[in-house]
Parts: sequence; structure tokens; C-alpha cells
Amino acid sequence: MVEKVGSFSIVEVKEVKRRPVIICGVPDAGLVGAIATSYLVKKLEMKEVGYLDSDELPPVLVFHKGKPSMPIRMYERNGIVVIISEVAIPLSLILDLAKVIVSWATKKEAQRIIVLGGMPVPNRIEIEKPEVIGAAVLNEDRELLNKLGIEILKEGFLSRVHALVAKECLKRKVPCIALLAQSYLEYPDPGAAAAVLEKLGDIIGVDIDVKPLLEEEEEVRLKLRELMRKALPTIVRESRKGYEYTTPLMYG
Amino acid sequence: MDEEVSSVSEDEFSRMFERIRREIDRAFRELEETIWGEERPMFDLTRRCLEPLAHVREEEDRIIVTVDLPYVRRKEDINVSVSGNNLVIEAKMRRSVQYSTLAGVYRDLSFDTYRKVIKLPENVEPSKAVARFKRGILEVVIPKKVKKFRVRVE
Repeated sequence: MVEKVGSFSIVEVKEVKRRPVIICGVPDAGLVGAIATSYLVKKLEMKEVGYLDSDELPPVLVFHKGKPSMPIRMYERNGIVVIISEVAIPLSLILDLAKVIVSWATKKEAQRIIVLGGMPVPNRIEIEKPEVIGAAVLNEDRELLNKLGIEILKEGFLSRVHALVAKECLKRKVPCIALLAQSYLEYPDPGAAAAVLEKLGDIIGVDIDVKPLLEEEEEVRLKLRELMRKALPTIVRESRKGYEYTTPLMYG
Repeated sequence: MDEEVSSVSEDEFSRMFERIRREIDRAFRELEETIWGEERPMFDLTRRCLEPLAHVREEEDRIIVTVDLPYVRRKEDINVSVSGNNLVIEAKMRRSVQYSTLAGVYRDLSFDTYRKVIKLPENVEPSKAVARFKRGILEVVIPKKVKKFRVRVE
């Protein structure tokens, strides 16, 4: 199956069964989503089932153990689909990316889309264990977050790629949760990724051991310096709008 | 007939507009890459050191420089100095890192130090800077030269 929206396509190399749970993490604040999803793929020993592509992505091909891979890939195991990106997504492509994911998810009758990411806080250096906040599109998902003891975004703005995915889900009535951990904006943050993964595990009912991720923290930070630098202009440009720290209108 | 011609033109116009929009986006991307020095590798072969990620935040009365230093264990392994208008940060890693594990193209390169030079603005007082090292992040706070006086409200 191929799904195309604007310049973005999702290509299933192996057919993904109906009713998947889709987990996305693209390079964003602290690379939280990207670190969390790539750890998840490794930890759950997921199999590659497809890729996402656009002519306007940076002109790169990724090699792992000598084997070429598409930079944005899709993995699956036991009905869980994870979308990971090893390249920074240019701002001009983020909307098409969000739309193609939600459009494909709708056709697959996805149970839920879960977007993982970071929520930059200026005092991150003082925080031992980052807090995680959940923003849910549908009422039943808010109830689920409540039941699991995950703090809900009650008043405020969701921004950047998480907002675009959630907005598309709202339009199409697709269940969607954005899980965001307090993080650095400009440094890879494996600690925040671990915090987000623990809460994700509660939602999808999978025990995710984050200890190895925390033990490898320094290596992850070192290896992801270049990706962080490449992703930063987009993140900073969007973060400058500062919507996360803005109070919405009083009468909504 | 007129309507048909007009609708074709509109279609062409929107395609052209979309092309222009994408070209502008591409130009902006290239400009950002130039400004942020994205193409420059994050290591210095002559000095045999890695360039760490760093960030400068400006506040009303000070600037805060932070530097991410994975594999640096103790504050004693960090040297912060000022040379002219430059803040120079050097740090020793607790183990050397083989660059082949970081980027496959550069084989057999190993690094055990970081070095970062940050150009300071004119209006700061580097001699009054204070630094701390916490959770692998170095933070240097440099006060600005602020002349404070009260303005009377009439």
C-alpha cells in the first residue's frame, strides 16, 4: 500500500495489519521523540515494514551495518507500528508529514496515534527526573491518561509537529495522544526520552526497561550531536513562537 | 469559454505559486544552513578535538552560555578562559572516542578533548563570569555591563 499527501509518501514494503497502534517520534526538542522511538525499535526487536519519503528531504541514504536504509522508516511488532526519522525534517515538510501519517492511519483504522516528544524547559539542568504531560484528542484517551496517573494538558498550546498530527487527528476523529517530557531544547536528552517511554509503556501495556538507555546516556548525547545541530534551526524557529508558554483565550 | 480559460489560468497560477513557495522555502533552508554552519564537521583535525554543542541565551542583565559535555566527569577537567572577545572552553573526556563509531567516513580518528570558541558580545564583563558543571552540562553566566538609573515618573 502506498499513501501520498503533498510531497510525502508512506510505502508499506510488508503489509501492516489493520488496527495498529502508531507511535511517532521525529527529531524535535532534545531529540526526545527520535531517541525514544529508535530505542523502542531496538528494545522490542521490531521488524522494518516500510518507509516514508519525499523528494524534498535532505539528499541522504543511511547505512547500518553496511546495509542501506531509508532515512524515515516504519517498524512493526505485535500490532505496534513505530515511525522513526534519522534526518531533520525541514519546516516546509512537517505539515505534509503529519497529514500523510494521519491519512494512512485512518485507512488502517489505527487504534491510536501516539506522538512522543520533548517540552523544552529553561531549568532542565535542575531537573533530576523529567515530568511527562499528555495531551489527548478524544475524551476516552483523556480518561485513560487520568486512570494511568499521567498529567493532562488542560490549558495551553501544543506546538510544532505534535500539534499538526493532533490537529489532523482531531479533524478526522482519530484517537491521538501526545506524550511530552520536560527536556532540553538544544541538547539530545536521553533522560527525557526514558521518562516518555515509561509512560508510553503504561499506555500500550508493554514493559519498557529504560535502564540501558540511561546507562548509555552519554554515548547517545555524543552520537546525536550532529543530528541535533541539523534539526535545531527548525526547532528554534518554531520554539521562538513560544506557544508552549502562552495562555490561551479565557473563553473557549 | 471565458470561464474555462480563466479556470485553467488559475490552476496554472496556483501551481506556479506553489513552485515559488517551495523555492523560497529551499532558499531559506540553504540560508539557515549557511548561518548555522551545518555543513562544517563537528571536530577539528588539527587540534584533534571534538566540537561540543553549545548555546547562548541572552537575558536582561546577563548572558548564559551552556555547553553539552558528554564523557566529561569532573569540573577539574574543564578549562574556561577568555581571550579577547572569545570565550574558550576546553574539556578532557574520561575516555577517548573513536570517530569511526560516530561517522563511518572518518576512520581511525580518536578524540579525547572538546574545544569550543564562542564570540562574546561587547557589553559583557567576562572577568565577573561564574561557571558550574551539572549533569554533564557546563553553564557559564556572564553579567552585562548595565548602567542602572531610575527614571522619575511625573
